[in-house]
Formats: sequence, C-alpha cells, structure tokens
Amino acid sequence: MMEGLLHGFAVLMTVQNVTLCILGAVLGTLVGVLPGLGPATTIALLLPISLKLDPTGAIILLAGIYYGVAYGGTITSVLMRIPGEASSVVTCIDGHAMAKRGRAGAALGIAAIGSFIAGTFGILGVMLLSPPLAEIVIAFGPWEYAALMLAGLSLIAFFAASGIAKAALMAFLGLFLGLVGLDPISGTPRFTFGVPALVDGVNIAPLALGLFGLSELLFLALSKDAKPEILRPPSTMLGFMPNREEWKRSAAPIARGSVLGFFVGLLPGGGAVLASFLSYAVEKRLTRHPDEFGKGAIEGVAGPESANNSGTAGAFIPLLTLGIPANAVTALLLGALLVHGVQPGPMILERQPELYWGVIASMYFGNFILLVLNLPFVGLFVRALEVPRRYMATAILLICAIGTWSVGLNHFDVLMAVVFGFVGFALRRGGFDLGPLVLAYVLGPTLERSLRQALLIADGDVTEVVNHPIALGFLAAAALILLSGMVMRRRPAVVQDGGS
Amino acid sequence: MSGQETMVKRRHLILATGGGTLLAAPSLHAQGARWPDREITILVPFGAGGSTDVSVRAVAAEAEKTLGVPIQIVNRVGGQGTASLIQLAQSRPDGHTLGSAAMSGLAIAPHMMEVAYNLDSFAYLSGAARFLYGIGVKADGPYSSIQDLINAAKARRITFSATGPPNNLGMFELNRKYGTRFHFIPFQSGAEAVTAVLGGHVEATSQTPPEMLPAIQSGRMRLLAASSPARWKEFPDIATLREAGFDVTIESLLGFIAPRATPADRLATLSDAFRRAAESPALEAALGRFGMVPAVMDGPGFERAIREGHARFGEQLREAGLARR
Amino acid sequence: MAWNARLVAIASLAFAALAGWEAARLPAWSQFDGPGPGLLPQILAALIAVAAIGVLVAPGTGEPEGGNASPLRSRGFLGYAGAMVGVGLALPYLGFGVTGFLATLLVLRVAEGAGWGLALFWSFTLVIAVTLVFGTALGVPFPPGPVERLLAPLGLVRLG
Repeated sequence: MMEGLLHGFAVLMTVQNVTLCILGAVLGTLVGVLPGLGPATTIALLLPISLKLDPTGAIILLAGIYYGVAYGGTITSVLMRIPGEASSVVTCIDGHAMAKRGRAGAALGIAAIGSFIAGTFGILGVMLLSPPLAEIVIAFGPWEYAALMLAGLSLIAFFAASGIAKAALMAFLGLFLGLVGLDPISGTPRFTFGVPALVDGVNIAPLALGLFGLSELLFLALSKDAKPEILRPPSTMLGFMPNREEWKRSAAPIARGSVLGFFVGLLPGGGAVLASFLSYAVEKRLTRHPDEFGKGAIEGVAGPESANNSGTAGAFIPLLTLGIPANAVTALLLGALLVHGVQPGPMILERQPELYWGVIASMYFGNFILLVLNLPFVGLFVRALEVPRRYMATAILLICAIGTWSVGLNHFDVLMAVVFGFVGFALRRGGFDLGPLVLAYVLGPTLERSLRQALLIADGDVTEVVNHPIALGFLAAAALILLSGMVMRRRPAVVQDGGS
Repeated sequence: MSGQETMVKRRHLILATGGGTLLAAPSLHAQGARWPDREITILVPFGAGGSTDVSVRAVAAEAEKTLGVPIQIVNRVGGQGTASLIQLAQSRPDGHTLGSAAMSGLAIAPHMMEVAYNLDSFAYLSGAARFLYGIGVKADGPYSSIQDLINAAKARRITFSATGPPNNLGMFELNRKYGTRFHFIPFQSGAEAVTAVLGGHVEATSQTPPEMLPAIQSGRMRLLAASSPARWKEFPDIATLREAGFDVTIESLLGFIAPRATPADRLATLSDAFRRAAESPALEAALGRFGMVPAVMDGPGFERAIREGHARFGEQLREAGLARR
Repeated sequence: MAWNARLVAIASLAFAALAGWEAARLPAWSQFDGPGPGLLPQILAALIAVAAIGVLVAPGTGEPEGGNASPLRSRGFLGYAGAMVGVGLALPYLGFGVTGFLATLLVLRVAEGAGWGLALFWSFTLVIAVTLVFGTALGVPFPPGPVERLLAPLGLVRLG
C-alpha cells in the first residue's frame, strides 16, 4: 500500500506533472470564482486540452481543477454569498455571516485547512478501503437509495430556524422544482411547457446563482450605505487566520465532517451536497453555541467544508473501482479516462497501477498546493470586501450574467436566474430559509427515481421494503433526525452552558 | 456485410446529395473558388468527454486534414440531445455549421416529445459509427446462455436495467416476438444499470460495452449475447442475438448532418471528407474505446438508415407505451 | 416580515393550484409500471398548499431582512433590479459587451448616483476586464452580439 503511494508520488514528481497539478489548482480557483461555471463546465472546457496529454497528466490536471474550483466556490460563498454549486450552499449561511462580522479571513482559513485535513483523510480512505467500500455501493439498490434520500430530506428539521411550516414549504417547493423535465421512468415531459431548456430540468446554476447571488445583490442595493457593514479586516497576515478559540471550536467539526463526508460521498446521487448539509445539521445539534448558528458560527463552516472535500475523495472510489461516476465532475473524469483508453474497474489497480497511484498522489498533492496557494492570499481575497459597492456589485452582476450564460448557452437559463433572484429576495424578506429548498431540489430526483424503480421491481408491492434492512435503518434514522430536530427547536437558547 | 453495402452506396453519392437540395444552390458562390475557406463548426448534442463527443472529435480531426480548415466542436447540450438539432435546423445553411446526430435525437426523441424539427429539416452527410449493445447477467446467477434467460423469461417476469431507448428496445422486441416477459427498469446512467445487476437488484441488463466491460472482465458479469448487428471485438465468441436464433437487433448509428438548404456542392465536399475520415484506421481505435465500430456510409445510406430507424423505433415505442400521446 | 411571508404563502397557493392543474393531466398510476409521472407532482402540489396555509396562519414576526421600508421606493434597489432584468432580457441578443456596458452604466448613474465620467470609465473597464479574463484567458463561450462578432475573428472570445 505504502509502496503504491510512494510509487504514485514518483509518478507525480516529474516537472510536467507537478506543473499540471499547480496549473489545475490555480485555474480551478480562478474559475471557481466565476459563479455558475462550476467544476463540470470547467473540466468540459479544458477536456480538449487534456486530450493532448498522457492519461496520468490529464487526470492530474483535471483533479487539480476539481479541487481548485471547489475552493474558489468557497471564496465567493463566504465573501459574496454566491455558492458556486449546491455543496457550498451551506457555507453561505455561516461563512457569509462570519464575513459580515469581520471574520471572513477566519472562515476562509478554516475552510482551506479543514478541506486539507478532510482531503487527507479521504485519500487515506480511498487507499485503504476502496475494495470493501465498492461492495457497499453495489449493495445499495433502489430501496436503499430511496430511504437514504428520505433521511437526507429529514435534515431540513435542522434548517428550520423560521418555523416548521416555512421550512416545509421551502422543501416542498424545492422538491417540485426537481420534478421539472422528463419523467425519469416513462420519459414523459413534465412542466416543460415546450421549452427545450426545461427538458433537462431546472439547472442548479441559475437556481443557486439567482436565489443566493442575485438576491444578495438586491439586498446590497437596498442597504443605505454604499458599503456593506463590515468590520475593518485586520492588517496583519496572522490577523486573518482563525484565532485560538476558533481553532478549538473547529477541531471536532473538521474531524466529524471528514468521516461523515467520506462515507456519504461514496454514494452516487448528491453525495457531496448531502454530506455538507448533514455535517451542518450534526454540528448544529452538538454545538455549545446553538444561538450563533446562522449568525456566523465557525463550526458551520469548518464541518461542511471538510465534509464536502472528503466527500469529493470518496466519490473517487465508485469511479475508479466500478466506473460509476458519483456526480457530473467524476462523470467527466470518467470520460477523460476512457478517451485515454483507460477502463476504470476493479482491475485498474492491477492493470494500471501507475495511473491509480498517480491519481491518488495527485489528489493529495493538489490539496496541498491549494492550501499553500490560498492561505497567503486569504488577506487579499478579504480586501475584496473593502471595494466600494458600486464597483463590487456591478462586477458581481456581470460575472453572474456570463456565468449563467456559460452553463447552458441559452437565454432561458439567464432569464431563470433573474427570476430566481427576485424569488430569493421575496423569500428572504418573508423570513424563509433557502437551505431546505436547495437540499430538497438536489435530493428530490434521486428520491423519486429510486422509489419508482423499487416499486417497479417489486411489481407495486410497497411491503417489499421489509426485506431491505439497510433501507429500514435509514427510515429509522429519518424519524430520529426529525424528532431530534424538533426537540432542539424547542430547547431555549439560554439553557446552553457557557463553554470554555 | 457493411463493406459490400458501402461499396454500392458510394456511387450514388453525388447524384443523391444533389437531388435532395434542389431548392438551395445560391448562385453567389463563384465556381472554382476554394471552399471551405474558413472554419467549420460541428454541434455535438452531448457533453464533452462522452462517447458521442469523443467520436465526433475523432472524426473531425481526420476530416480537418481533407478539408484544410479547422473544425470547431461546440457542445450544445440539452433537451436530451434535441437542443443541438433545434439549433442546427435554424442555423444558416452555408455549410459552416454542421451537426452530429445519433438515432436518439433524430429517430427516437421525436416520438417521445415535441421537437421543432423533423427528418426533412436536415441534409444527411455521412454515417460514422455504429453502437454496440449486449445483454448481461450476474456471473454467479442461474443463466449461462441467452437461451436460458429467454426460457426463464417465458415462464416468469424478469427485470432488466437499461438507460432508455434504444438500449431497452431489443428486450421489448424479444417480448413481442418470443412471448418473453422482460420488465424494463430505467436507470439514469449505464454504470448504475450495470451495478444494479451486480447487486442483484435486477436480473439482467441491456447496455453498451464501456459500462459492461469492467464488470465482465472482473468476472462479476456474464455477457450472454450481443444485441447489436455485430459482435463485440473483446468477446468474438459471444454470438449476436440474431446468430443465436432470435430475430432481434438494436441498430443505432452516429453520423453527420447539415441544415436542409445547404448548397449541394458544399454538401458533396463535406460528405466526402467525413466519409473518408470514417474510413481511417485511427478512427477505429478511437471508437473502440467507447464501444463503437466505424460505420462507413454515404449521405443517402445514412439518411435511409435514419428513416428506417425512425419508422421502426416509432412502432416499438408505441407498443411499449413510451411514445408521446 | 409577517406581511411578506403571507405574500409568499399566497403566491405559493397560486403556484400549487397551477401546478396541481398541470399535474392532474399526467397519469398518477399506470397499471403496468407502478406509480406514474403524475403521482409525485400531485402529492407535492397538495403538500405545498397545506404548508402555504400553515404559513398564512403563523407567518412569523419581526422586521424583514433589509428593513421595513418598501424596496420599491429605494433608488438603489430599482436601479439594480432594472439592470438585472435588462441583462436577463437582452444578453442573448445584444451580446455581453453591449448589455454589460449599458447595465453597468445604468447602475452607476441611477442606483449609485455616479457622474457620467466615472460611470463611463468604469463600465468600459469592467466589460473589458471580464471579457479578457473569462472570454480570452479562460475560454468561456460568450453570447453573440455586435461586439463579440468583432472580437471573435481576432481570437479574443469564443461565440457560443
């Protein structure tokens, strides 16, 4: 095993490959800042270039971009409340609240460090546990996925700061948005009204960009001052870093996020998104500062950011061992592997050890490069908050415009982003939480598809579920999560102890 | 079989492409002027890195050499492969915007949803590749031959996974012709369809080589038959359904098309370049990685195959209850 | 906030009615295939209505985010909202260059009250910067407009 990894590093340590890894991470971060462009679009844009490289080099470049984009999305989530993709939606909640309190540097710092630790953990997991975990993925059938998605949906109980009716309304609307497009079983178009862009469903980019990014722009416009009320950032490099207390509060969330994220990320169908929401719920349940959640609790950044990074690593297991892409990005990586004549599958370790270990080593190296590149720049990123509104806000508007256009190259997505911008504004004015909407939107399609697949296989017999112990386990977990969320809502804020 | 077929068809090339586009032929283009004189764009209906995208890029790389101008690939994703065809149908018919299309967009989607084009919206340049399909079961399961599986399906309901048409249509055809009871369970991706068999969630799968090969080669899955017109090159001993005595085959092609009103001389130039590209040995290797084989066809041949597919798939989809009402 | 929440609830009720009406045309159950395409949409339309009524009953209290003043009376809000709508409508037709320039100009003049000189300067600079960084350097496809058509042959942007 260790030899394998060392071998992997030996493969990696050519001038070309190190350069590609750095290039990928830098480019990824840059593009991640462009809202909506997201890793999938970016990798697609760069795929033609990667075709000219050898397979190992190509995968190293793409893996670097994958991680880089994820971090770039964190930057915009914290500074501007614009999530690059669904998995950074959670970061917007407390990350942006921290930025408003003048702790943007701490949020970005802890996200980078947490991601690095979680990535390390995830890669260890991929190294040690790939074959047995692949068996779990195989054992998951439609019943298991349906139950898992229900358990995931029950997490909205933890995002219901504004009351259960409001959170439920958001979740149901999110589920409904997820239904738009071709019916997953019969192929019947639903709610597409003859619009070709809707046949593939409501795209996540205009949804997230509109609900979060553009609605934030409207709130920014509404504020009296030309500058958002942000405390002056510290002037020294160290001042940007998380302080002692923040470190202390983040350690456990990072550890929990790493483990949770890895296992949830294994499963295709919204792994990284579910991981980040789950981690947020867990931290909210366990924290000693529940009243700070939503107002800039560092746990709410450290946990989810770690979880989505180790989830990213976890997604490589089904990809490399079974050829199952867990998300759009790994699907593209799979395409890149196939282009180069590499057939992922259980045999990959024996047939192409160089590639396998090269990829693992480069994932690790990519993580490291991101940390090294980004920490020194955190101060610079935070300065962006000091830019007067007129410059910043217009830049956001134009970047959002080109970002939504680039996703599907069609007018409809751009219009939809604008509409969702006003919808997001109205919802926030009414005191609704947007988290449940996005979570339900992401999990809904998998829930519906799995449930209907399960019923098709069982010939319509719902009681068949009793033959699926894993599914029953998840259903029990769903009930428990709902209950626990309700109990916590009732717990008065004053009861919490002072902590340390 | 395909070799002979194309030999005959090639002779019709110039005649037929001319006939199809009588309306066009603007007199603006002076004779003898070298065309194409600037880059050509090919719209690809699916995302970069997928099998369609990569095969089109491979053909385009070869065709560039003949045409002498760069070919730009634009992934116009959306509408389950229909968005790029809608855009192509509305593009300027000057030969600089072309499309790549498979059965899915041309011959299947119009039966399932309303689209703003039909088979007459396009001029057909050439065929390039044929998809391979196969039927697989769990390696340690009870079925060791396609005959076993079909016999079992005559006795009871057997579930199979597939992504959607045309992958599932072979099984429907078996149901129709041989009284089997194969029950279709749709999955979102080929890899998920294959994994569902490995986990025992469904009993069989009807998919393409890229998703099935890893499972077969690791000994978890058994390939029972090729359901395409040709056998898989990795398993030359596994017969096609037809060879095994069942008159069922899934025929799906990938080829190149242009807006209907494109001038005939340009169509002929393009058609010739793409057909030559499809013949190159480099292409065969590139296609093989994505479970396809070259299918050298001229414009009329490709058009005929698509029109036949359109009629056949329409019938099959209506019978399976998948066609739009 | 209560008033805003009620407004959202009423809009949701209307949405549920429309969605339910549209969903009713889809088969909820098919004899051969188990649940049909209409089942979940119909259930969800009903659930949306129930939750919306719940919100009407208990809309919550407190000051809405962004303050009690009506956004429609804020020059800043109207300027930005107008620019957003304008970009949404015009982007595919006028391209990025023209739309981006006009939207920035509108925001700076109307919402931010900047002078003509500054407004023109920043609009120009921003559009060029975004085009160079995302279009030229990162190869993002741009919507085809007059400016893009001029730049494309120079290799500065890709049309898409």
